[in-house]
Amino acid sequence: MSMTAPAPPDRAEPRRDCTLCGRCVSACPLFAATGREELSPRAKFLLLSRLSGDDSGLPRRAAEELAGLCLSCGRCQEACPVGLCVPEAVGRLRAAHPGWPGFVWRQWITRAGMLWPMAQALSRHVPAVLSVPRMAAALAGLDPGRAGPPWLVPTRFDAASAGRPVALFPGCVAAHARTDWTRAATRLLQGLGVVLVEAPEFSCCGATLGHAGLPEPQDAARRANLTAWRAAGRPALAVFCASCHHGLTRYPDALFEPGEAAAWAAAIVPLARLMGRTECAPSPSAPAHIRYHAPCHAPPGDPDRVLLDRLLPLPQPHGQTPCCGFGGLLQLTAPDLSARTAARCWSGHAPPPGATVLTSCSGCAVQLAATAPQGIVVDHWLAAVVCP
Amino acid sequence: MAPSPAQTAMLTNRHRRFLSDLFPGDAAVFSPEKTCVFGTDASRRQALPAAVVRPESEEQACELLRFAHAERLPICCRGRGTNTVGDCVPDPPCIVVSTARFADILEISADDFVAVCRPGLVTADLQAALAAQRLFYPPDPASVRFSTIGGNAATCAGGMRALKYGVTRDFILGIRAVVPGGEVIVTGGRTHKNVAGLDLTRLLVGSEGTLAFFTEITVKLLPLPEATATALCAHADADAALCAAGDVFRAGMLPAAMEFVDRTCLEAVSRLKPLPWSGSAGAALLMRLDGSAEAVAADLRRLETVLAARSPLFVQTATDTAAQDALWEARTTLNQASFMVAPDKISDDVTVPRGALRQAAAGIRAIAESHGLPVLVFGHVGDGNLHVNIMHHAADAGERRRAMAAREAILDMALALRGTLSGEHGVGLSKLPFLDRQIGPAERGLMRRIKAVFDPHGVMNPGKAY
Repeated sequence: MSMTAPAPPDRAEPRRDCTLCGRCVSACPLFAATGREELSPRAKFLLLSRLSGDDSGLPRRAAEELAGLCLSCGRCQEACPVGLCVPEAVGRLRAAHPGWPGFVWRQWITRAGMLWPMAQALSRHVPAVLSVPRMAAALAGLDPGRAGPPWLVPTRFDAASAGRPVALFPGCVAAHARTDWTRAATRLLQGLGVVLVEAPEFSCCGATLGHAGLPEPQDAARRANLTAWRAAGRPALAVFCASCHHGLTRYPDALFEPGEAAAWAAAIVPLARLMGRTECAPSPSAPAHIRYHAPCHAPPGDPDRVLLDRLLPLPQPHGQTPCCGFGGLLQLTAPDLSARTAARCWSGHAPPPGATVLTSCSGCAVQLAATAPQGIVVDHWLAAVVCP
Repeated sequence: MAPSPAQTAMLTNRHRRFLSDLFPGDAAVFSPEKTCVFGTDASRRQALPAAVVRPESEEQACELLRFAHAERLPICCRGRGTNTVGDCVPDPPCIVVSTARFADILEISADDFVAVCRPGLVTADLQAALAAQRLFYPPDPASVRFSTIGGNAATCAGGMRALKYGVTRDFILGIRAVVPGGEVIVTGGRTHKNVAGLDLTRLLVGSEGTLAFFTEITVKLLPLPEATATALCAHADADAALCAAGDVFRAGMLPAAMEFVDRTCLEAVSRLKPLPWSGSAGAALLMRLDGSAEAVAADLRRLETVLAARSPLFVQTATDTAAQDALWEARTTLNQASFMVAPDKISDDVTVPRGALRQAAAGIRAIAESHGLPVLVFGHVGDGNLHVNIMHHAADAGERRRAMAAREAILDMALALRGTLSGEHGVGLSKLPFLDRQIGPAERGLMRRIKAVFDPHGVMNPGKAY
């Protein structure tokens, strides 16, 4: 017995605006760290809808600034029953109101090749820079010189990817600062027997640029990456930064030639997945306590966790780890919120003294290194890999 | 931006200074872009708060309620604002009290089988902490992962496990609360039985924020069941499914949960992900069993036999967590799936006497047809509590009118079957216009006089619930 005639197909379009259900509030790391519901994703959607409706009761500028305070972690989208994405909405808001922080972030990312090594050199040679605690901490994660000696030795490589053409997509941090990660990744790919394709220099994956409300540099970076990929013969792209993976897998269809979008999607592969059943043994100098920080943007199934679970004595069971609070543009617009989120992340991890925390995202590695408690070592897991 | 006349009339500079002193730093909020989210809840009604405060101690709450009572300033308490009937909407303008920073677990006692916690704690977080010690707080409202113990207590939230275990009020042993005027009361205690004096705890649970601000809630715990299992079966029509449900009880079985999902729901869910059966079914039943591993295995075998007797279109069972979750998707993805049917919904949770469930389901179907709108019907078949989602396009004035009319017809039909307007969600603002169809003047008068004893100046969530 049927209930009633169904709605006509052209009117049964899925809902695409916020129902104020509140599921996102419990997912939001910024709310968890501050207890301020006005920072929650639901509050942002309320503000954005009031702003678009020209609500005269709302002070416009203050509302826009408040709505722009977002870590862009994307956990709200996982919780939302209608799949709304706050980082995208905030990116559009920020794009509509470009300001000084956006300008600075744009320079920082798009000129990373020049600026980051300069910042590194400055911090090493100009002691005055180090006297600014935030500056010193922020640069610490970018300095390959601070990485401890590696301790994870590959003993037998999985041969499943042998002969496959693969190019390495290092991402901004590995390309311009943590070149040690790039070297380790390259050595692993060589061990796996892939045909390592020398790609022209890739640009930023585009994720942080989009979140920061910089659609033109984002578009330019994406196009540059596609051009490089095509020129290299459309190889598989090995990625070891979760944020890069997130960014690369969200290129709009309009950028591709017919049929190419599927090839691109198939090409992007986390390095951890390519590692397959590769065996590694911790050397005698391996840390006694190791923890894994799962990035908010981990690829589906978190292949890095799967790999590290198999290779290392990580504590079980493990739930979702808290957001590190990196937040991209938020580093400039609200560093205190980023810091509070990091503090909550650390109390969630509660690592034993002297522990090493490994992660699979450049942003997390930088942020956690900058905020780590005394004596805790933080790095991308690639930094632990011994290369001959 | 200047505050609205309602706000200006409400809060003077002296009031604002008092609140800022009592809740220093960012714990007191006044500017509208920051307060506006505190004026909404899942009912989607909106009203601007006069102010928002975030207590972190009972002392702050006492001072606030002393002040609110003296100055006759309305107070509206808020957990995560997931209430569906407007209990968290500050209409008239109120000082909203957010429990976001008042959320600790104070104690878990495996010896006394109690836990004591602050109201702002998310219920699922409590359950996770308890599970680590093999302890169990059973109530599982659909919002359990994103609503608070305080909010659950204020509405006497239900959930799927109510069939076997009961609702929130059955698991609250005592409440420490602040009443208007600033006095602290302690109702009940930490004993599992307690009949000294009138049961103030039960009065507070379900009072929808109209009597007191809860500062500590003592909950009753059980041992955590060792194992669970799930059975999903599909039937040709709703009647067959509901008969099958009756068979299970007649066989002497009491599942932990028994949920009914009708054809319109199944069709919506199938748009997200294909259903596990081919062909079309009129209704599905989902059952959860819990207990020791051996008992659950035996019960599951028995259940399969009982269900087979009605020749369902499909039966599948599961014992491991991932497989069980997959079976439950036909129920757990409903909220998301409903928006595939239409962008707007009117939600109700009418409850009828258990024996009237088939009649109620048939009645709702008839109302849906006569009003020409898709109505999703699902719910807790074991306790007669049906969730009704009238899907429509609110932007279409005609559809909106028909949806409201359908809703009223459904409420009247439930009452005619000697049911209630709400089994779980509460009355709040949304159902208040209909309350006198269910509650007579004598009873309502008693409720109001009792409230006046707690709250002589009528500051706690005024204009709500009764």
